Amino acid sequence: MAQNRVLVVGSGIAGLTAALDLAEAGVFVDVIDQYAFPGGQGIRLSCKATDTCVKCGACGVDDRLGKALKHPNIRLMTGSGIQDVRKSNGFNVRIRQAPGFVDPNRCDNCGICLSACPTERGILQGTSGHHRPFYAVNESACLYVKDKSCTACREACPTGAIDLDAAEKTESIHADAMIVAAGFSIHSPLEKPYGYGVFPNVMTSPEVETVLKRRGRLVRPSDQSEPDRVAFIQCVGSRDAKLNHLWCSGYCCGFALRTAHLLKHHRPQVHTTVFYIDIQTFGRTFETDYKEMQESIRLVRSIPGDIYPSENESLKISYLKPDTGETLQENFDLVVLSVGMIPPAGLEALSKTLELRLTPEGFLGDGNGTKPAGVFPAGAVTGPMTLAEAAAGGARAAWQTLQYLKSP
Amino acid sequence: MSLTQKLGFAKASEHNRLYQEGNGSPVEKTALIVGSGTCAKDLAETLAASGISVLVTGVDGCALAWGSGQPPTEASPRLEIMDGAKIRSVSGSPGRFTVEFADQDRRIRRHVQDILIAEDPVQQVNGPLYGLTEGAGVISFSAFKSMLNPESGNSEAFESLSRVAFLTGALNESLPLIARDVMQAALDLQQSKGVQAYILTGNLKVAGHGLETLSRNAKEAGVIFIKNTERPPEIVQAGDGSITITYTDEVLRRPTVLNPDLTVVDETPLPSPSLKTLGDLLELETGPDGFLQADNIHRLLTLTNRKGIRVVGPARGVLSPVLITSEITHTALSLSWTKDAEEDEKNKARIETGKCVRCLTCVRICPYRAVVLAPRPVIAAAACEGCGICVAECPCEAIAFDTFPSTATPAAVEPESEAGGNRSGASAFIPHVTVFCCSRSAVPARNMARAMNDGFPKGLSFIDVPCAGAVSRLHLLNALSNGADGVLVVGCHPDNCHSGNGTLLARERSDGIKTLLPRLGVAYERLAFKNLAANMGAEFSRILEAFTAHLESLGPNPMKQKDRW
Repeated sequence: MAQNRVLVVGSGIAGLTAALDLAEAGVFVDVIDQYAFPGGQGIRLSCKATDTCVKCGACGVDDRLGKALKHPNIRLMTGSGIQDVRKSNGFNVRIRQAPGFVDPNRCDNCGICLSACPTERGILQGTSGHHRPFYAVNESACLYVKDKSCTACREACPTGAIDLDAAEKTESIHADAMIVAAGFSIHSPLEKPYGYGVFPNVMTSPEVETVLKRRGRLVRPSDQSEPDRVAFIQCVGSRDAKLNHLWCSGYCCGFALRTAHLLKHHRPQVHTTVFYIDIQTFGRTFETDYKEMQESIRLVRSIPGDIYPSENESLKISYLKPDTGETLQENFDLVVLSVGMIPPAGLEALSKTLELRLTPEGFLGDGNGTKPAGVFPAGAVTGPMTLAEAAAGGARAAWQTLQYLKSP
Repeated sequence: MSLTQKLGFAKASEHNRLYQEGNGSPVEKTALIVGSGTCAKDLAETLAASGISVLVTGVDGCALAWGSGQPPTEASPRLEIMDGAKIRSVSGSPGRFTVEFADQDRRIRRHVQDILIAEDPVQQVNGPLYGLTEGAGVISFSAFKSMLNPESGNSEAFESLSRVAFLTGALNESLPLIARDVMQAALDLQQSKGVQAYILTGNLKVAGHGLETLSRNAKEAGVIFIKNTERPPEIVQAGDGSITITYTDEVLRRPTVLNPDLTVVDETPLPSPSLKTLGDLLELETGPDGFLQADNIHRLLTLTNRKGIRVVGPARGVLSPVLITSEITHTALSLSWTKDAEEDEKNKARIETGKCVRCLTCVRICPYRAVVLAPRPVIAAAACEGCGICVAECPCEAIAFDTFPSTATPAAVEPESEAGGNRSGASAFIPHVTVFCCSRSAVPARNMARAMNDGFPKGLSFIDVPCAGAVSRLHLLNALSNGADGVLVVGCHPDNCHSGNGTLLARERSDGIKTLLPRLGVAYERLAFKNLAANMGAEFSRILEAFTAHLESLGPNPMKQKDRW
């Protein structure tokens, strides 16, 4: 019998886990990801370990990506999306892959292209040791792609690794089944009253993750100094009826408390404050960890109303004191918005192509009857979840896929 | 009572006999499942349906899930239940475990390829936490659920109730799994029985699909949520059993009294004492919460420190039904794999008989329990993960490893040409540093640092080891005596070491040697151990910079000039 072939949409922890489980079972797996680098949102997460591991799971994503890249039954295509799907004894899928502008064999990761590029996000930088090359030209932001007006990166590249005239590729593959592990997007806090995008020292949680992963220390965007007073505001874009985001994103409490704990470890003089509604349980030793963290991290059960600029690019947060109800104002050097998960951009279009039904929240239905035969959802595309839950979801989708392939 | 209760046409024993009598190659796989709840039952049926023979026993020797004479399902021909027999011992290695069961005075031996532990937790009622004794006015959540069940015939019991208080996580931390059940029950009560329901909690756990919506629906239906932000509620149980709860109202901001007719306390799932006994018998790592899996990312989803032994669902922690289903199917799938992806690349340790004095250090130290007595110590290749800890600990250097430098071989003393070969200016002192890198943390971190083009100091030579625990005391001393100005060992963080305590052993050895160095006239700072994760590229560069800079201030290693000892 010919080898079965399965298409996995999304190379995050759920997609990689599904792909690895299927590949081990002898199925050939094509994994496509629309982003320039594989690994999904999880690959951007930084390690939160202090003297000991705090079980955030971030290293698990790097580990799985490394295994998937080596597996003979897995082919990973980044910068790729589905153009159209035709059902015929499985799925005939046309995949469009963005041009590979940077030659991995020539690029030596010097990063000169990044500093040469005049456009914001024109050159994308990887976040993992598995990202080769470590730099990519962002097709949707590049001026050369737009109107051939700029060749700064090509001229600056000392190894001649950049070919701005590289062509896109279109390929048709036949898949016996599909796994949709398209992950999630991150809520943009631009609309919220927290001055994100206006005040330089208001950062989002993913931005903090990226800075920590690249530099190992958290610094203020305005002056690259290490902040002494850091505030975390929870539930930005989660549990919010006004936005119709009626869900808890599930990972942000772990992010905020672990990061606050790590900042304390880096610099014991740091004061960290977490503004919250309810602290969610994370990890197997939460009961004891939480008690310990309450000693070193200030927890305030109140969601701030506004943020105002203050001297030296610091920020004034105004909030209601939970026990008395009086309005307080307090200065912080850095404010971190713990932004929630939302349905991934492009899911609506994908759901139309694949005839998938969405939940009222806009995520992919996980239950029976919401999917056509041979398409299995996995991970956070079904709703917010943690890394461990997404990995388990990937494993489950792999099993469902195999059962489907075995059925007559 | 019969020793084995067979359902349908139990073929497992047949296959086991073939396995025993034949040339050792099993006709088909048999897995032992230890568990008596629904997870064990679902797992058994899933495996049986996918062609694996299953032997089921409870951790206390009783497989309760099928105990009430339920008819066998279509999967049952491959399904055999050991009833009333307790596991007495387990020997052998992955793919060939021998399990001995004891039933009163009888013993039975069976061969299995895999051992899967899927035992349910025990429920600890949280009454005592709140100073409450169960009785007419105070019941556990499980008792309440069975009361709510229409088949229980207890529907009149609700007629006399006007106020019911649910306590979940009011003094401890609840879980989304429990919060879901409590909110659903409170909502049902409020809507269908006309009872005022109160939920007293600290942090409302809503991290799960649909939980935020459920909490809003409950609130809209009239369920009152009382969250203790500043101080916990005061709960008093009077002599007549009546309950008085005093809490601070969030809106009124003053003490408010609640006298529920019924108080329902939640339960905390805990590992059963028998589960711990089984873990000890199988020499499995245990998590800080007592469940049979170390709290270690490398063990996800269902792995243990022993290959061929998995912990599924409730045996490894408190998990949601969706996660348990995922793990059952993942387990079924992984049993069909012939080997795992990394297997080919692994080097296995080998004991050289001529050198071994049978001190049994390796038997004691192996985190994977891969050294078996047959009757002299032998490494079971199928169980060996190739960490090299036994190599480093063996006092006779009797354990060999194909690619790893033996302790007798001097560590590489020539710095990498790319870094140290082009020293500029003869006057500047560039310390030569030997860096032992754990392949699971330091090596990927080094790759990441290179990808980020962080740049390393000159004069480094890297030695990659499978685990920091493979670096012996002799490695450290040899590196220094062979002319390194400094020696750095970089391993995983504690609790993130694939070999369990490998990184702790490495630190212990490094600390031990450090105390000796001053007596040899060598500054102790020339040796250091650092923790690092695989994704900490920036930190790797930072550690190297700081260590090298300090060595520069110390000057050359004085042992360099002396003869080797």
